Amino acid sequence: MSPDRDESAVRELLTPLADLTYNADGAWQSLRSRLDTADQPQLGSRRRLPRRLVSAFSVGAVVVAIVISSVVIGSGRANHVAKPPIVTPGGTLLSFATNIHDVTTLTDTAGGLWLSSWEDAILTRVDPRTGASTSLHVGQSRNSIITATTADDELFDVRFDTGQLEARDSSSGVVLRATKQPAETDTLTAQGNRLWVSECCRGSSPSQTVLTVDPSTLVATTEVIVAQEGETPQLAAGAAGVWLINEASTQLQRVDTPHGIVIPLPGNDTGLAVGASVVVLADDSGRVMGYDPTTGALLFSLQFGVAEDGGVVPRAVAIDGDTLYVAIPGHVLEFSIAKKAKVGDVTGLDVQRLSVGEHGVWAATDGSVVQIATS
Amino acid sequence: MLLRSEGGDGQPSKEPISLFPVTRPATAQERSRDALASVFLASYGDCLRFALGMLGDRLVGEEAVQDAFVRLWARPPLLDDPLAAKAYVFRTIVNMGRSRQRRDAHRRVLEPAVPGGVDDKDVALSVDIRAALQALPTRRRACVLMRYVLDYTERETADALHISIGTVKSQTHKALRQLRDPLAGTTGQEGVANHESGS
Repeated sequence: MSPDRDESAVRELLTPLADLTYNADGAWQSLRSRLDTADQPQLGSRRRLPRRLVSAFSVGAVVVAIVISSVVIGSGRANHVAKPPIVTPGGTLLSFATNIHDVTTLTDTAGGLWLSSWEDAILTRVDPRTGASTSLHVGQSRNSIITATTADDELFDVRFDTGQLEARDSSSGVVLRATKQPAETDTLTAQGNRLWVSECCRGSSPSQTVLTVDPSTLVATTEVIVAQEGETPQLAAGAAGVWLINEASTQLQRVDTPHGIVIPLPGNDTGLAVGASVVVLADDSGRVMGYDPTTGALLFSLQFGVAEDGGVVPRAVAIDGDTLYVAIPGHVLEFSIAKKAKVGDVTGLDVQRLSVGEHGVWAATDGSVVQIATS
Repeated sequence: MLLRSEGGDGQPSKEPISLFPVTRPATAQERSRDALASVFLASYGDCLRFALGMLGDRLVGEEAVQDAFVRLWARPPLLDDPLAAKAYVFRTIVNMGRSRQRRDAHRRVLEPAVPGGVDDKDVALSVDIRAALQALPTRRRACVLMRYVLDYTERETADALHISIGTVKSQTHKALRQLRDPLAGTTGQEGVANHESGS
């Protein structure tokens, strides 16, 4: 069954909804009468966004200059072009073209950077030193990698078309082991030599489950049902435990302890990162919040303007040691967690994904990968 | 325009008087209401379709759209940008859908498509289709409705829902796969029921 036929079938079934008839004028009259009793803030009271970019971390901005110069890429796909490095006061940022425009996964492994895009069902490896790239086909178009991570120096991914969890050599991409997952995988994450998989809808049950998987055998060793339905849009592991976003319950919760901590979500999640002593959540109301992983207490909150009023939405967060990276449109901002201070700002990047690994901190943008920091 | 120096009660009045008949300029709130009316009338159909699909019930959907626009009214700066305003209404409805799904998870009872026989004749979605839609996780349902009912592009869907294009693609295709089995009998298309083979 092709995706196109699926689309046609669903579109046809939903035609009555598309052809819905309604009385907009009548509805407006009804709304207008409600507005007569509803409050509207004074226009002059608009909350402005950039001035309170960082509440707890208010420190002067680091001015970053982007200087364009040339760089030579050793090898790569034929249609790749040389990408100039980004030079900042802190040093040169490596930047390599990828020709991947909608990045679904970005994973920094021992064998290189691995990227995938939903549209072309290709896994691409980029050498973090030279930018040379190689590509592997992993299925049919629009049946690509759902999620990927690294553990034990290997690349782990889950394919949409086969539903298989695969362990690949992180240099060649060759599949070393594979196993069919019992249910649909939402996401996976790793910490050291441990791997966790979140899935939903096993058999007739719509429940969300998190499996702890042995990377060497791909056998699940434990499983925890975290919700009776829904999905897990975010799953992240770090020294401060394994955390996920529970969409059905709209909460952030820790799942690697018997009595997991539960934190209600203030908004719709856009990013999740776990560090040594903090778990960081970004949401679409323009906030990035840091929580104590043992108590769930709010440690800090960064406000990037009120997104609903035209502010910005954080797109991704990542933690490397003491540094928190926040991708917002046009910037990757760096904060010292210990100092509660902003320490850097790389401008000119519209980041789709962030990844932290042994080759540093990398950002995937439309058509390129950029090394934000070295480890 | 002059200010009257003294009112009828002997107190100064702030009421302006005009030497010439002029049209009173609209107040900020009036302009804001005009802008809201413009957004509402232009986008009501899409918002209602989306709300009905998200919430599974026309009456609930109509109320949700009204509630979302009341919330929009409390955010005047958004009204300067009709696209942003409409996207805000969509996201508000998504959040309502999420809350409703959470409540329903406790009840675990599928609500009838048209409670109490309320007129819903112009929405010929069968109970099966509604149930299948409602069984989708919130984000998947929102993506399906935007892509296949409102005909939004992947980019427009991503912008409206504040998610990446990659997420739109993966959520939409997961939703399509999830919809295959429950909708197979509804379409009468043999192929829809088939699982992918040979992949």
